[in-house]
Amino acid sequence: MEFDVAYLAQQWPALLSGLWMTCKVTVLAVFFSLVIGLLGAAFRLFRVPVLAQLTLGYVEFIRNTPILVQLFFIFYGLPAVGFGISPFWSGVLCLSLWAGAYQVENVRGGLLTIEKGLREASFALNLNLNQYFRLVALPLAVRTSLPSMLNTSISLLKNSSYLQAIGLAELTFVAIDRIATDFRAVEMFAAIGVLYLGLVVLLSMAASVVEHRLKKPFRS
Amino acid sequence: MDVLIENSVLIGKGLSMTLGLAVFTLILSTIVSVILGVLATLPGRALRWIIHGYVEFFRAIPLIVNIFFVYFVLPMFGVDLSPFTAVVTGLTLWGSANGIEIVRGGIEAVPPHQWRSAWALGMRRWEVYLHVVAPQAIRLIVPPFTGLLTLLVQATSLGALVGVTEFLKVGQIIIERGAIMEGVSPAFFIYGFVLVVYFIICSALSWLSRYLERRLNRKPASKQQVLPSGMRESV
Amino acid sequence: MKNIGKSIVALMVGISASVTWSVTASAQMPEPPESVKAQGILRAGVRCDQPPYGFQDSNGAFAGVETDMARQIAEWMFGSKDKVEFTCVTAENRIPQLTGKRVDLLIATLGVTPERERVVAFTVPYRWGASGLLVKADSSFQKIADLDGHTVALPKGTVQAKWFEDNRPEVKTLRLNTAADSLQALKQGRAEGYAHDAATLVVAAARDKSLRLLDDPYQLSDAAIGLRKNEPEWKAYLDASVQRMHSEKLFKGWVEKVVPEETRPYYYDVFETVRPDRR
Repeated sequence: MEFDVAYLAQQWPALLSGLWMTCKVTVLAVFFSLVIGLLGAAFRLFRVPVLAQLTLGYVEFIRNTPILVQLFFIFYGLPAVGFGISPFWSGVLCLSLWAGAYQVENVRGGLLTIEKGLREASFALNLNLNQYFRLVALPLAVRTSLPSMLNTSISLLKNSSYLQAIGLAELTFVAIDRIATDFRAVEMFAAIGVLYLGLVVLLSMAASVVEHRLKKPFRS
Repeated sequence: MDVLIENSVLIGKGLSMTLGLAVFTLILSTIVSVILGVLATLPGRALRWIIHGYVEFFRAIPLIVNIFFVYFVLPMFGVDLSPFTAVVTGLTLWGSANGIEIVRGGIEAVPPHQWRSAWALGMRRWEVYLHVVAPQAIRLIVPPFTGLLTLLVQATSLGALVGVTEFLKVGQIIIERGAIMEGVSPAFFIYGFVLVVYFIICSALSWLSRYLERRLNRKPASKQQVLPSGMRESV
Repeated sequence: MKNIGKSIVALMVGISASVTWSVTASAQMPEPPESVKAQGILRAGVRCDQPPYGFQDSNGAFAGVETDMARQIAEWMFGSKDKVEFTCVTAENRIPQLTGKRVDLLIATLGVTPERERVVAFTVPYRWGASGLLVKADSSFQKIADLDGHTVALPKGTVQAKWFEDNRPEVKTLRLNTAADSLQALKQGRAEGYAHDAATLVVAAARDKSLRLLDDPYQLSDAAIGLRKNEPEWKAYLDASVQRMHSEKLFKGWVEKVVPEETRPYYYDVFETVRPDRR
């Protein structure tokens, strides 16, 4: 079993296009999951009737079912009821819904740490609920929950590899697809292993930089 | 509904395969986690770094890549792995990486003064682990391990991708038979059913985890969160 | 049935009466290799999700023509149809399962290709297959070439996947895990075509009037039992087994067990007649 560098070089463009696809779905899904997280946390915290209960059910459902089955349900099941979207958008939808459930909890966790007094102080300053949420609570909550939000985003990046099961040509798909025809598993796994590790490490580093920056006002 | 009744034997086999995968993996992960988790709290710095590297590596690599790797590459080096063993191995590598963090966290949550007191009483290191640390750490370790079991049950669905006939794969087989041989596609119904069953199993386990947490930690000795960050979001 | 590609039907049905496998009438089977015999059981890699070749029935039992082939070999070797241990293989993992010595042989819709021949050995073919392309009945596609720039769904790791890559790079492929996934992708409009083994497509087209098989067959291929290289005794034994299955006309009965009556002729043909281009 020798390691064929020439083969890897020949497959490099395919791997790069897979990497690009992985990045695209990840970025889009991180964005949508944060939107879901902010909205869901607000619904839960302000006990918005119906929506708060729906959010709770959604979070529990996502957390207690395998993401792979969620993906198959979205991609193969939903078209039966007239909701058929491309592999790419199915992937983005699945990852957003999945990560969104965790982001709701992350943001909510951050909001819960905010002291009651701040809210009273804001109202005393004549801010309304909306302004309090937007200007006071959210910026503080985001700072507290940033580490867990970034953790969820890194998990999302890793979970984008599940999308190979619906034929989306992301990084893992490219590797498995090549292995099925060329049988050069060692080279392919070495390549995607390094690429995923690189992405995760890069994101983690970016995360710690951002965290450091945001903590600035609180350092004495 | 008829399709479920008609295939009930197959569905039962799939479910027992899923539980088999989960239980096997849990047992193996627990053994590896306890051994490496304890070793990680010993003074040796080199050992600690090696274990740390193991934990970080298997938590950074996507689980699916990990399982495919075990499945496709190890046989090339003469390791004889059935799909079942491959999935158990892949999940154990990942499960124990998380388990080690739980065990280490549980042990380190035991306040240092207890160590010093035990030493002052002339206890040896292994005696301290056995009589002082273990009874306290276990209370902190058991609830998140139950949580880990929930994740393992979910992660076993990856077996479907490498040819283990577990619950999800059974659903796919039923859909396949319907779509190719009978010209009807029950995908919406079957995948919906699979989701609901997983939800029931995993909710029960999540509830058990929370119950144990309340039960075992009624006196919050330390408020420290022992669930490793990011673990909950791994499947 | 009017819409089904006429030439494929002609290939499959028309000539079948006149041509059959030329088989040397040898009831004498060579000795199986000791290594397999010593196991006392045959370890066969089969498909679990590819009806009617290999699938699991509602009781979870292995069924299909290819699983019956494995049972037959077990009977000839060990005297019992039960002396066989099945492993589910997928399109991607079947070759590694074989080379990793998990199974003694693959009877798993494995088409003979030059790429695979570099890695594994094949017996004489037990079946031939044409490749086909299924489209929506109301679409305007007539030839494979019409699909340039469009998307075709197909199962990963199939000979069709390789063929499109080599011969029609302008066609975008959506590579999915199973036949049903690909069929659904076509029906749901995620792809304009579904490429696969024509026998499978014929059945799908017969069942669903909204689908149509293009009258443009491509790439005839053989399916054979896969085994590891450099096992000449084993290959001789399996070659003889396949030939005996043909000479004893066993495939017919196996097809009847799992294929609905109206689509049986196509399957009789692919198992029992000589590949059209070799006639």
